[in-house]
Amino acid sequence: MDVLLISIVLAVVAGIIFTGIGLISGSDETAVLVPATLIVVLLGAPPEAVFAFFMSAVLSKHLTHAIPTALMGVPGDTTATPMLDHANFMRRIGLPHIALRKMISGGIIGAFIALPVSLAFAVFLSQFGEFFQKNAGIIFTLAAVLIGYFSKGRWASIILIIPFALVVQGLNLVSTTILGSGLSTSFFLGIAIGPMFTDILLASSKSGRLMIQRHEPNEYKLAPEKKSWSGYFPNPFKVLTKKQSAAVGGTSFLSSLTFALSPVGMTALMGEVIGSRVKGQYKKSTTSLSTMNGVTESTYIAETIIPLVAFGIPLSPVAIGPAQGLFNAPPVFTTEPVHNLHTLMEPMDFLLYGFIGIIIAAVLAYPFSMNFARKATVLVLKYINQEAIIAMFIGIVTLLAFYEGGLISVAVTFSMAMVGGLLNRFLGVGVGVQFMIFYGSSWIVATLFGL
Amino acid sequence: MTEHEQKSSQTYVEIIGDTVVGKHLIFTILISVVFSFIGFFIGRELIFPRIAPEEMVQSYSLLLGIAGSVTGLVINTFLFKPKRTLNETASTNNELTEIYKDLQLDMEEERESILNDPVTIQEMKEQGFYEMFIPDEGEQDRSKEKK
Repeated sequence: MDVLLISIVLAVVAGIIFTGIGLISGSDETAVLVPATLIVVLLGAPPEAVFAFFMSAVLSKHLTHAIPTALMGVPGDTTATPMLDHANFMRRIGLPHIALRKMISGGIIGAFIALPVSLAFAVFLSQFGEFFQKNAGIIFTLAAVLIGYFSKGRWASIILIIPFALVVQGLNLVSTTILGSGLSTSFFLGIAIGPMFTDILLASSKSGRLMIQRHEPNEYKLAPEKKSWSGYFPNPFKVLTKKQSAAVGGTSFLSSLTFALSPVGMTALMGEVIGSRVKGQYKKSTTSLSTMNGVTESTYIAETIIPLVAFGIPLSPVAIGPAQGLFNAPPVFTTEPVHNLHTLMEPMDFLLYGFIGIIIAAVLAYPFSMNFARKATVLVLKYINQEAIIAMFIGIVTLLAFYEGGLISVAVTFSMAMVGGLLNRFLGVGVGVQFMIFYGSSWIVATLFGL
Repeated sequence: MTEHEQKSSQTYVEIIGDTVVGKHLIFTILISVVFSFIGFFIGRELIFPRIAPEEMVQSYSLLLGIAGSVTGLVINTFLFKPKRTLNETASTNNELTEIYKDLQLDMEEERESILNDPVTIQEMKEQGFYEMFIPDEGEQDRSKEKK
């Protein structure tokens, strides 16, 4: 009983704190979640409560990170970067609050699917996990071709796959030579800020400026809001159309079965796969956004639970990142020998305390973001100037890149932004394609040129 | 500069879909980057090595750096006014068509996709922006005549 009570209290604490943290854009998951988890572990919380705390933190942070993404066009965190394109479109046509509702409704459905699915498949899946791990390069490359074909760039996107992969690997080689290890965050930050950086470059070039010069400030239209639910707590299945719910369900289910791929990569992949099959930009954007946010939730949860329950050693990008504290928090939890949640909890405990975590987060963060979406939009549009938003974005990106590998990382980020942004702007090679090429690049270069 | 003068003499550039003044942008970026790094370095060099376990120094410093970025945002918000104007009505159909043209999207294809999908029509009607996408008949005829 005690353990249950502590778990509930900690989950509530996590829900409140991380609902707030999610609002701050750019807050890196690893940087925020690891210290928070460690504090809870070191304070002596029982493992069940640590798990409930972590699940609640992940879900509430992901639900509210949709707010800066949808409203300001600044990614709430790294997993939100693939969503920027569609979010910006929705903002441009005056419907950012609709984008936000779709995203968080997708997110919440994704979370509730991912917990039982990933748990049930945890042990069973290791064989498939190996398959995905071994073939990740070719999977991402094929995805790049597929997504490229359906993007605005079409053949240009496909033609540029190999050159772009070479650019990525070239930059990576430079940074590896200098640092002794490769970079990753810096690359996808670069891809993410590409479009913005291109605009800034155009503004600073005498010949380019004419393209983006305006004589009057933009007028922003914000469509009036109608609440589509009664009371405080909305029903996510009513916010999404049936097709969107199905897309979220399917992709969340699938991504719950994978645990070795990067969450950013999965998010971009699933979003584009679903989006490319939808006609019409409004439907494409809302469907992609709900799917992507569902997938960020489900990959996060799956990538935490599968390695934790099946192996007890951190074998996924999330497990070596944000979820580290669940595997390794010496002296309380250790991986050598394995003495952590893996040994201390039964699968049923994971299910029970996992649900405590996500239900509490859902109750706290979901209605909060849903009900205040439009009010928040108005505040942002009225009082926060675009310069400040762009500046914060650049500041945070520079800082995160610097954090990964010093000045060279910053240079890599902006080089990537230059290449990716120009390709995106002038040839229609979308951010999704670029992400896929990035993840496939080492395989492409190794296979073709034998690096 | 009075507001009127500003309106007539000022030119803007459009960065990710919103208008900004170049000089202001340079200034805000400087503030933001400087504050982010001040936060980070103060944390890494001065504060956390003394009070935090060694392996956490980097993470805590990053948090302080992000706090710096947020401080930068607050300062920049007070220093400059937004250049956009906010109009709390739905876009009209013509405005939306313009936006679509800007974004190199096909408005006709968009309309068709909506008209073929009763679920989306209903969603748009419930949310009150159906007319933004699908003009009533008369208006559509006029826009065709223009072409």
